[in-house]
Amino acid sequence: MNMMTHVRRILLVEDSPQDAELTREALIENNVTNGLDHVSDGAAALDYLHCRGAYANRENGNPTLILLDLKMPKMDGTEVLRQIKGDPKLRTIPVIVMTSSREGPDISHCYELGVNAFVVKPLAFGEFAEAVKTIGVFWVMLNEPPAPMPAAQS
Amino acid sequence: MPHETQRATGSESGTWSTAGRNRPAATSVEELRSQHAEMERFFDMALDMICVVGTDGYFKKLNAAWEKTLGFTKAELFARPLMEFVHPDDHAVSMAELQKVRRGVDVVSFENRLLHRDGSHRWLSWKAPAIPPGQDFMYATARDVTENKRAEEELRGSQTRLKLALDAAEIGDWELNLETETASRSPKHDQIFGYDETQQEWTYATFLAHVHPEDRERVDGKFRECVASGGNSYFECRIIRSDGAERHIWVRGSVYPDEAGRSMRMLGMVRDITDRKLAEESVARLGAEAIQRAAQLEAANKEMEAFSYSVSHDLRAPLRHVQGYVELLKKAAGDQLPEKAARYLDVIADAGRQMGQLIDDLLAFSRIGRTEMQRSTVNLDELVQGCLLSLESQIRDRNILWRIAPLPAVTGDRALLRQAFANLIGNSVKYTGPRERPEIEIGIGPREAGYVTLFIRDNGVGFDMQFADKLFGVFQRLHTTSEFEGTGIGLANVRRIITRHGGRIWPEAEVGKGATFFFTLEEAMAAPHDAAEL
Repeated sequence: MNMMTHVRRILLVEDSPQDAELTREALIENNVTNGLDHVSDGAAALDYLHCRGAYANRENGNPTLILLDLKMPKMDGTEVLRQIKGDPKLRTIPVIVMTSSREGPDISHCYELGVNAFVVKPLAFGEFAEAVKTIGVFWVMLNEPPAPMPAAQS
Repeated sequence: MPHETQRATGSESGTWSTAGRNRPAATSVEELRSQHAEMERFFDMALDMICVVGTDGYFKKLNAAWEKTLGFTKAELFARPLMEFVHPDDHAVSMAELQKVRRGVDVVSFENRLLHRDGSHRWLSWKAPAIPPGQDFMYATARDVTENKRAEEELRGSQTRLKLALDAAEIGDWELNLETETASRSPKHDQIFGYDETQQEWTYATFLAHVHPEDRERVDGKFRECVASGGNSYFECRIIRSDGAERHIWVRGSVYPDEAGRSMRMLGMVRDITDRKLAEESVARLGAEAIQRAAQLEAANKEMEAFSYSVSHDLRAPLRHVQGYVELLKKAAGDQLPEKAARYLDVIADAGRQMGQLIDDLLAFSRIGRTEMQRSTVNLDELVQGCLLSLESQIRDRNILWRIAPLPAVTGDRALLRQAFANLIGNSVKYTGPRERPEIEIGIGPREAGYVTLFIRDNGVGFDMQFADKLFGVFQRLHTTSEFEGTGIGLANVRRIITRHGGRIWPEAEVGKGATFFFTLEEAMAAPHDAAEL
């Protein structure tokens, strides 16, 4: 485990409460025990990252990892991704897009925007849990993040 | 020329004594001689041919111009009657003219041809005053008009050609007097405006009245501008013909100034171009329609893509939830779950998995029809080996007897063809499952019009040919899932792929005996290194 004093958190941006719950279960099942913060749309994700609105008083510091759904009401995932990767204070945070399908122009577009990985959620829960575990182990435990930054202020 | 008349007696060169009736009175022999010599000089200096011809038809006196024009010496000319030099075709008319002169009529501008020493003929234009009674010779002058004649001939020729060209091109021509604004025209001109009979009078106003009201101002502007600048004009416009029909014409005109530099007349042409205009319009219309259709197609494709995207996202998410929560439920209930309930949960999960497969297959099928083909030369030997490798796990313990002929190279999309072959081979592997000695053959049939027939044959369970037409439909199956796994989209994919390559696919099968799938693909031109290997 890392030597950082603050807790390494994972931000899950997911509009479906079921998917959010399944993701949480999968993480627990695989002992990825970092704190999981869940927001259910893109605008809330940006509020969270910029510590504003409902998140004005949250504990400072960027999350270790962002799990981002693409198809969301209001602001979709690609727009959130564009804003994160266009912001010098946020762009070092690893962003994993987790989406339902490989259809559509999303994959190459997300890579152009600077996504760190693109994962199609498997249908079967076993495979889904395996995928979440792999992601958690790699990005949270194995991957060495850049020097911690204070959370971006709006 | 009559020969009964008496022959002149003078010297070869002739003398003025026979010619001069009113010669000036001479005061002395010396003076007379000098006058005579001067007359002779003038006589020979004349550019026109001057002669005196006796009633016997022989030349009595000639000037030097004759020798120059006809190439004969004077001696040669004196030696034969004039008529012998005349072109045979002109004999009759020449005799008639001669008779006129004898009868006391002046002859002016009579033309006939005379022989040149080189065998050619020269056109001469004659002038001869009437012979007064009692005079037995004729004075005559002639001028060589051969060049004029040739120019005239050429002009007539080029006019004939011009007329032919105008007729062939259905062009009417006109000439407009810019002072009176009246025009002379060819019959074709008036026909273009709908008049079979050439009109009595035609003015610029007549023309303008025929021009379509919407074009009139523009046409009049063009015309005035052309007259003012003294240059050329070209325009196209619509006219209303005398029968009321609307036609398209083009008009060309050039202003020709007079010597003072004023614009006096305008020459021009007119042509009906309605057919061309209509053709242009229909080409333009077709082009616009094609563009519109392409845009519609692209929009439809885009819509289809958006639809697929939605389907794959929105249909898969609930399926994932069904499966996920079944799993969570099992975990939460643990050992307390009755066996029956556990089986129900398995069925739910399996149904979800199957539906997920159906959605994926359907999306893949729609993608085959949409994605652009990447054409290249595809080596089928390699492609088939690749397919077998990917089927390895299903083939491993099957003891299948493979008979694979050397295959040709074809033109097509490698990825799509790979999918088609993998599907057909996979089917054979699947449906030979119950056989103890499974056999699968991949071979070549006849070639026709650049396409080669290929086939994949197995000794599997086969099917009843009366259901053959169902075979290629989406989600059509001839076996239950419990017999053989599958969603029933494979052959629909294969047919779509083969059809997109311009080929055909058809089956031959018998229940219990096996099935053969024939299909055609465009054969690639043999690459040089392939030929060397043969």
